[in-house]
Amino acid sequence: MRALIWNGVNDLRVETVKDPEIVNPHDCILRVTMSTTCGSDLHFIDGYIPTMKAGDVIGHEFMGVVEEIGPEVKKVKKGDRVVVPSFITCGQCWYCKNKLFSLCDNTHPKPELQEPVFGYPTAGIYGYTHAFGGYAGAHAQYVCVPFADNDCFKAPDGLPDEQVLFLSDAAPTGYMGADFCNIQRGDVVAVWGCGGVGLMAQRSAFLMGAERVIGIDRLPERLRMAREHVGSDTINYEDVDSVLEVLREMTGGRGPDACIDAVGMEAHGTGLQYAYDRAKQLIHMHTDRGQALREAILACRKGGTLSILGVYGVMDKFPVGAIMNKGLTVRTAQQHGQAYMDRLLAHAQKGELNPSFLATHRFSLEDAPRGYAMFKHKKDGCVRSVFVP
Amino acid sequence: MTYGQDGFSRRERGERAARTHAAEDPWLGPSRRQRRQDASGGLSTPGLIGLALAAAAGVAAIGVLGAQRSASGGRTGGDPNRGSAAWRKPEIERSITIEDVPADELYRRLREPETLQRIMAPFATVETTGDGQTRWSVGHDLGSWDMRLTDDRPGEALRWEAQGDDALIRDVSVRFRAAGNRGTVVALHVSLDPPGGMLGRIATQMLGDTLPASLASKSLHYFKALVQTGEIPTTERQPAARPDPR
Repeated sequence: MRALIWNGVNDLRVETVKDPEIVNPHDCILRVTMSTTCGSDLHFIDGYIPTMKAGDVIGHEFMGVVEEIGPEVKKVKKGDRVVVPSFITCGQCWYCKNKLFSLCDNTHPKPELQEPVFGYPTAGIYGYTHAFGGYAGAHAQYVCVPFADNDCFKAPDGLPDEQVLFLSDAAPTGYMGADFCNIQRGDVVAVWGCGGVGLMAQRSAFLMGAERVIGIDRLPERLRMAREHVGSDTINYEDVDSVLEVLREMTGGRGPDACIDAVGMEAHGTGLQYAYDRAKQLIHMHTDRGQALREAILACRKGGTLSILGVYGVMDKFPVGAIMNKGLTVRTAQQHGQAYMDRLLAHAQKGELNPSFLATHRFSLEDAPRGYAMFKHKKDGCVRSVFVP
Repeated sequence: MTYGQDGFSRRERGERAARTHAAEDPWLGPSRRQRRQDASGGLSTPGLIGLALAAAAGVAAIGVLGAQRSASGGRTGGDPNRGSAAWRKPEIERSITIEDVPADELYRRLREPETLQRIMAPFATVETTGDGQTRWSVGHDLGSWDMRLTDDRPGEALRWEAQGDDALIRDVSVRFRAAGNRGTVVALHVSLDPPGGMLGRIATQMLGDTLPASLASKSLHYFKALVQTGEIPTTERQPAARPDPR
């Protein structure tokens, strides 16, 4: 089959590899119908996250049609059109039973790579470094989905692929980020980042009752999407002297009730702090440029909630004093998509959540490297590239 | 800027080329890591460095110890370095909590030769030779020895001990205890007995307890996955554009 291969830093190519096969009894093979880029992929494409191997198939946000099922697969049937959350989960361990799916204890084939860094291994992910399991990714014609009964969710008839695809990652990640904020009527929620996850977090905050949502970014086309598709107010941080000041004034001096970071380790910013982060990251003194997260911590109202969705490694100048003294609640996780899928599908069917506007650029799988380059450089207003094998 | 066919600029590729070295340790960078190594005389901290180290290891790492043993023609019993700070005989103890499976059931599963074989795969290849006897081998035929089941208490404990002196793993024991409403705790204890000689010492010093301990943890995770889900997570036979996809 054809698949998008990581061959080294900023070296992606579409190559022919062997087809996946059923190895474990709960596996199924999916014929991928659509997959999409994710901002978190850029971290290993750019070389900031280790343990990629040349030859890895990448991609973790996808949907498809079931082609083949393993002997122990009971619910999922051949021919089902399904969407699959990015984290592979068993459904049997304590974490899965407590709906902490991305922390599943039973799906990491290489826990020894992650345990020294995080203390305990997380669930595995498709196509996202060997420290996260080394599973083959989904920018391919076919992908093997372990624990098919737990991780494949049937796409409702009548919802086109573009509407269902983002329920794999961007939508559940954003939805979870808003859920973390325990939003009350009248709340103001600020979201750093108007990419796929940030826009989904903003939409979700409205669905959960926020009175006002403020999206922060620097790209005019993304800010326009936040206003037009989501109904957010927006701040272009390049146009203001201080995001903090603007947020303070927009919230009557209180600060947002909840702040969601949907940016992560390669934040852009302005001023000295950004220059400092960029320099240190370049010489690998630390992995993260954390301006968005720092700003979110300082902006959040006293006793508010900080919800971190961006992917981070190691960061310094982390203002933990502000978190402690302001009594912030910090919530964070990789997405527990399986916990939210029923609600997300219901919202999608009722027309309350339609993420298809994220799919600004469509490519054949053969053109995937170009799709990633466009996505990375945010050319031509690219929010997400989607690939159709 | 000119963009290549794939849309990434040549300059960008060039700039970043240097960083591919950091694939070994991209969190800290090679020069910094080198400094740390020089300063401490070894890789003492687990964490990010451990990750890079472990990435290059696996059963092969234990194989290094085996290679040294073959080269030195067996263990030197009175190695004076053995008692020194530089020589630590790795004793590993790791535990895992397995929810909703009672100790008796876990004991029964571990008593199955196939289970032992599958969960010990991170450490060694285990073959059953009959009568509680098993043959263990490590990486590329570098070490092979017999182990006998010496403690067998249903629902409580199992212990395998090496027969003779020529063994990289002296003994393996597993104990089960109830963990209130959280299931059963399974504790795995492994005593390694790596060979003497400079390479063996360096390997042990470098690895410290980090790597073997991570392997012990991996074995326990495999056991948990097998008893809770009926399968062990794997990257065997998956697609990748390289000869060994794992």
